[in-house]
Amino acid sequence: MCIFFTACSQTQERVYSRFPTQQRIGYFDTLINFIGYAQDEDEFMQYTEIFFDTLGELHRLFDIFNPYEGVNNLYTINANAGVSPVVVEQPIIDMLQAAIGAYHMTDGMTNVAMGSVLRIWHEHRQRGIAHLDYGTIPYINDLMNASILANIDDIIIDVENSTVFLRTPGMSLDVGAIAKGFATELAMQAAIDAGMPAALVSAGGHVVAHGQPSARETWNVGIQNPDVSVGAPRVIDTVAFTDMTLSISGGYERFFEVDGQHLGHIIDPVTLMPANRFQQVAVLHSSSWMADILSTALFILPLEEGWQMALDNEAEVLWIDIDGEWFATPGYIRISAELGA
Amino acid sequence: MARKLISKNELLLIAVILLLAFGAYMIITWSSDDAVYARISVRNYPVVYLNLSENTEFTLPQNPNVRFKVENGAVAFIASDCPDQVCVRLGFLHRVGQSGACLPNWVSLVIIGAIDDEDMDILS
Repeated sequence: MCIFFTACSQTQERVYSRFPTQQRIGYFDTLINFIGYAQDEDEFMQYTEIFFDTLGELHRLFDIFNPYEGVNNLYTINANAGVSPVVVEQPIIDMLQAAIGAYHMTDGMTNVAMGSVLRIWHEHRQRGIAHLDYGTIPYINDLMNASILANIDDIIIDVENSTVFLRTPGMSLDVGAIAKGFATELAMQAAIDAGMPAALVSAGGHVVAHGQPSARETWNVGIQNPDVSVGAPRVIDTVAFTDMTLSISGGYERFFEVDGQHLGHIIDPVTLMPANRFQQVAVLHSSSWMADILSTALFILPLEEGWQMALDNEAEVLWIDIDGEWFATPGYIRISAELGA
Repeated sequence: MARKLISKNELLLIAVILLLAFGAYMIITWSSDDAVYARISVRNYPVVYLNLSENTEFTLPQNPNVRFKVENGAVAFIASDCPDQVCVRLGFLHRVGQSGACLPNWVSLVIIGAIDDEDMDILS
């Protein structure tokens, strides 16, 4: 299967073919799939390498769990909270500035300064997953005490000196709502800059599409059913799009249960408890990190508020509520195999 | 009597050869177009390509804690020692572009083969 590009000034025709999916484990705590087009295998492997090298570099910079030798990353910033500003590379400054903008855009629904709260939930979730019968819900007092340290204005960015400082001791960053979206956008751009005509990247519910695959104008992306019970259909919808990102937030992978209560990984910054209005929210946006941010915010907010936020930010959205009912914006319906004409 | 240009037997032979050639051509085209494989990687290195038309059940020598099954053109992680069991809950995968992983064990899988224009490129 090939696609053709003809340059106006040249008579030579370039023929691009699709190559088998490349996979990586080790970045952003998820499986990354990379599908791309190139003129030959060597060229394809070159794009693959550029994509994953960029992604790997950003993974190390945005990692909150591990330090790396010779690199100041988010772990370093967290470790120096209340102590001193940390000199960092430009992608960290850019990502945190985007995240602070996103905090205001989503009325505080996505807050990268909430690491202290999310860390408590992370520990309980890890324990609940590892020992099914011993899952526990954090004490609300602990969560409230931790949330005192979650003030976004305490992230001090000094652009001139390339430093980041967390003003309060004990404060910490958690960039789970933006890091993957931001990194996939930069990595895809790096491969595009190298000449890659078309590619599709999936990173655990986050799909970035670029260019045209084969004779089709768009990529076809299937959406998994949040209901994973036996006999339930695997795919609930297929959407056709390109030069956009589909970001899906849902509780079907990272969750644990306590006394039959389903506890997902997206925490409502107001209640400090897992958001539970929806089974799944799928967001389409021209920017990968915006899609990432909005899918988290719209998973938390009530439908009416989320609808307005989607409208204000030119996002197309599918919500599946807790009873399995679907709500979708007109733009989503147009590209949906299930809802479209 | 002058010999016919082609005898009956020769004609039959030619017909058989043509039929065999056509048959072989069809087998080659079908197998190259329709063969669907699962590529399994450990620590990001492909270690096995499984033809999904052959039923089997096995573990990898690199990681005996993860067990796979191929049945009726589909493949599944059927057992793993990982705590979250996300891989096992995926169930059987059969469509080109479907993928799965057991992250704690660094094992990933993707189904590869020809894609029709109407097909799904990826499932997320």
